[in-house]
Amino acid sequence: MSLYTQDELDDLARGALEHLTGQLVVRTAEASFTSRFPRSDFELEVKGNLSLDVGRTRDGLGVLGTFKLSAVAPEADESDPDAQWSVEVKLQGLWHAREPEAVTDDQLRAFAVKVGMMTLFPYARAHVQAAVVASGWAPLTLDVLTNNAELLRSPDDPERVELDLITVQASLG
Amino acid sequence: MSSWFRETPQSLRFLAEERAVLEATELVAECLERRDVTRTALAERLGIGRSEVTQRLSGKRNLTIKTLGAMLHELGYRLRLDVEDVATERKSHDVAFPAAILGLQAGSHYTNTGTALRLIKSDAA
Repeated sequence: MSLYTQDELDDLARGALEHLTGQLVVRTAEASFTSRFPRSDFELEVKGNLSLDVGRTRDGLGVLGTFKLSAVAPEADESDPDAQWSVEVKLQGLWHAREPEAVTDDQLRAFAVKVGMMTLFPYARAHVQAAVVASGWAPLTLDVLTNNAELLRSPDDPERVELDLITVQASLG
Repeated sequence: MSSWFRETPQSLRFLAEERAVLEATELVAECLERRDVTRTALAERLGIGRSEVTQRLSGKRNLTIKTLGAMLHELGYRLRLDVEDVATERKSHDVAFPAAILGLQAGSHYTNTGTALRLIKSDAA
């Protein structure tokens, strides 16, 4: 398990940033949404997760963020475990870079957290909100994300980020 | 009815006006055809220009009851007015929404808002 502080992540990410030329593409790679008929007689509990894959392309660095959220009724049990709505969206960011093969794996992972996730997150927020609203349920707007977001904090050490969670792919995009 | 038409009291009244104009002009057109009379001939009988007959029948000019009566008279017809009860018919157009949809106006909400995400390892790993 490799745990890093925010400062250590900054140093690592800079190693990747030095290679960037400034060109960026963000796109939706995959999206799905399912929903039951909306109801207003109970509150929903929302849970979700985010996974990050990062990799080198022929001429850049790529980050794939998979966002999954679902909303369940407060007393969901074995008889009705299904989510009232669930959304999954895969967003891909491609940064043009010089000599991407010179960026180390840990630098890539830090880049995915410090830059990749922060870039993709607003698109994920917008996608989740639009999909939920279009289905008839009350809108859900994820918080604006910061680098000190709770979702990054390791349960073993809240002051550090578990960088191993970021997967380096041999081929991405 | 096309889905873009918003039913308000004003729009329904406007629609009723336009329908009345259309029925009146179509009535005159039908009478012209039955009598095999041209618009030019009708204009001559009325002592007006042909273009005015055309404009009346196209709805560009306000077709009054008097002018409608005069046109039909020149074609050998007498105008008779009748009404159709649409009050009960209009009520049948009301759409009953399921209670579940009406309930959406209050809106459901969430026990936890904001960031409900956890960072995990991807399935591809």
